[in-house]
Amino acid sequence: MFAVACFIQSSSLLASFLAPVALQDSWLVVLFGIVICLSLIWLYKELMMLFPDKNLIQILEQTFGTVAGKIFGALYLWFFLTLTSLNLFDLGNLTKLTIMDETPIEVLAILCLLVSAVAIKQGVKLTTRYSTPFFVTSVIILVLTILLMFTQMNFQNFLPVLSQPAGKYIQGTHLISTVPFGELVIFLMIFPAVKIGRSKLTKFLFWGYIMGTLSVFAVIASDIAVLGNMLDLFALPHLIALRLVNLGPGLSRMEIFFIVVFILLLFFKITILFYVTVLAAAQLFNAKSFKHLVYVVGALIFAYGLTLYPDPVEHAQSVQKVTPFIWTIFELVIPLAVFIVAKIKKRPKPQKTEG
Amino acid sequence: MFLVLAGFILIALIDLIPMFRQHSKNQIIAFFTFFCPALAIALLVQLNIEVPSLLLLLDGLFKAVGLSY
Repeated sequence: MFAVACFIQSSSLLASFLAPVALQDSWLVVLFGIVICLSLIWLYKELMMLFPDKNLIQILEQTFGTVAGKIFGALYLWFFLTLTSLNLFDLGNLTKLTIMDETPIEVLAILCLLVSAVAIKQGVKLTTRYSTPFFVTSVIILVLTILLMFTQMNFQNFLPVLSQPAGKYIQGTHLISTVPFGELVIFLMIFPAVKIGRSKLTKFLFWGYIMGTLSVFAVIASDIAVLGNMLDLFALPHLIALRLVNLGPGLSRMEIFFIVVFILLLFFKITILFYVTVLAAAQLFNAKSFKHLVYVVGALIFAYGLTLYPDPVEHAQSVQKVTPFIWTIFELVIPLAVFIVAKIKKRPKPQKTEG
Repeated sequence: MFLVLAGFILIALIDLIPMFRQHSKNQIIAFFTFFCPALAIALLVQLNIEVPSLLLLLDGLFKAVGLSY
């Protein structure tokens, strides 16, 4: 439950992508996204129930046959690899921008990958065990910072409501549904390893989703309340909002707490994504163990990440305009196709009656 | 350049030797499937040769078919 929550919560700084699209109505778009993605959660739950002891790559092979299954599996491997690289360099950028401005981003990314690689070699169980303290700490920091920002908040900043063209709401909802929320599809690779009942797991998935998405909502709503129509001017609006908190000389620069927590959450997300990528690679090649592939997949994640986007502006443009369409294929289209095909295959055949 | 090569040699030494000892053909194939592109991209980036971004290529493709905002 906390692993799911941490995974979503690590995307709470995504307001920088969402803000230029929906401006002061970003909070509304997040709410739309939360409601719409409940159907995605239902779809993933159904797949988990239909194939209780199989991960996504195995599900694809069973549903579409070996050849087509391997092709779809390879596409998912690319998707996991891309997500890991993007998040890795997001972490590097954030750390460089906020705490370690003289350290090259490559060094930060390699260090993160090395720690993640060690964690994966020890088993993902170890990492998921840390999700509870990570989540509790992040919620405490989030609540504290929102309370401290309260004096800076102006609720008139939420007005006017629903003043944008309808297309902007569709774009914003699509963006928030696919980029952070729909990425939960990666948990279809992990669920078979979770040794608890499927109904209990469904409950944990749902509550984890609700907790994570509400944290994202809280961050975005507080940013709007503090920054108003200046929200889209900043690369990291939440940090700017926190920078405005000033409780005397001893209690300024509160954003450092949030940065530390956010780095922890992003590290958690990268480790989960890295594990899923290595697992998918091992599964695709029918390798006996994934442990000997950890470093080499890490090397590709790093090298591939260097080529993705030349600068953060291009990254933001791509995420706002095209990425939601690409991600929809992996988060909705293929899982839905699997669900439909599996249902048809499992449907009881009509019995032939004589005469 | 030296650091890049040293890093890749280290990875190969750590993981390839046990795989050859275990005669695990699938694992060796999987290893080289990732090792070769990773090494190629790392060397190209190190030599300041521009590597086209796959995501930007996809962006162009999706825009061309009208799937963009």
